Amino acid sequence: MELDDKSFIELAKRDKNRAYSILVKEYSSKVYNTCVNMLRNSEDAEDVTQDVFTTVYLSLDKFKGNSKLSTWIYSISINKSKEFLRSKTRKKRFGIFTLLEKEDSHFVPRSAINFNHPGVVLEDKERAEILFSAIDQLSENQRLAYIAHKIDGRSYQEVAEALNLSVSSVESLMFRAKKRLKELLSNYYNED
Amino acid sequence: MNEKERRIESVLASESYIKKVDPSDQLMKRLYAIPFNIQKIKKVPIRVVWSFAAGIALLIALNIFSVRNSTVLNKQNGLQETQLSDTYFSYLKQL
Repeated sequence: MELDDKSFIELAKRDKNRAYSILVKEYSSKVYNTCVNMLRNSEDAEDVTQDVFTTVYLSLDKFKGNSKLSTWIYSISINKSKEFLRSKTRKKRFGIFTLLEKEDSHFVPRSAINFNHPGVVLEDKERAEILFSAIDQLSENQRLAYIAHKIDGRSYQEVAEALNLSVSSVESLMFRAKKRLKELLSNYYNED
Repeated sequence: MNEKERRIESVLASESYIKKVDPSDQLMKRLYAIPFNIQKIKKVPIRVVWSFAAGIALLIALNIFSVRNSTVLNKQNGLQETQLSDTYFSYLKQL
């Protein structure tokens, strides 16, 4: 059953649980894929997906249709994944090492970083690890924009709304992200 | 395009090797169960929580009140005891 946003808000007022079931049916796959692409680990992605839908259920009454339902859910997914990554990184690293890593243009693909992306088959695992290790070297906004647009397949408009930026800012983020990724990969293959 | 450029392009062409995946049945069950789990957590009505809190506050107030009263009583008793001992010793002196 597909509903437009207005009818959905009406339904949510009348029967919250039914509206929620429709949301799960329609968006669970999209949310899970976003989380998997952000976190690259199926277990973590499952936990964050659950967290996203808990937030969605609890804030369903507050959704007034100011943005599109899909954008609203997408931005919750991005924010939850971002929070998860931040808390995980805080636990793992000390500040000084993070600084050193950010400045390093000679990255080493880290296969030990719990890479368990269910959408990548074994023969492509190495390529994916190289790509994601390079993506990790980007600034947070560049990384989010790149993953959202190139890997999640979201339009610039959707990315801009989810990240609370203008479309032109997203375009510029993407331009710089692609340039930096090419540099990083070029350095990596020079050393190879 | 040289070999290095080809490898870079192949890594960047993520849409060709990162596929969309379906969430597991286990996850779908977890997602559908969220409203029921939240309702379970919410089972204790707010009114009950507030009356419980008010009860505890009343208990604390009563305790403070009784402790204050007992300190005043103790002081009064202490005074009476000194008076009694005074009369007892003066009686002994007379003997």
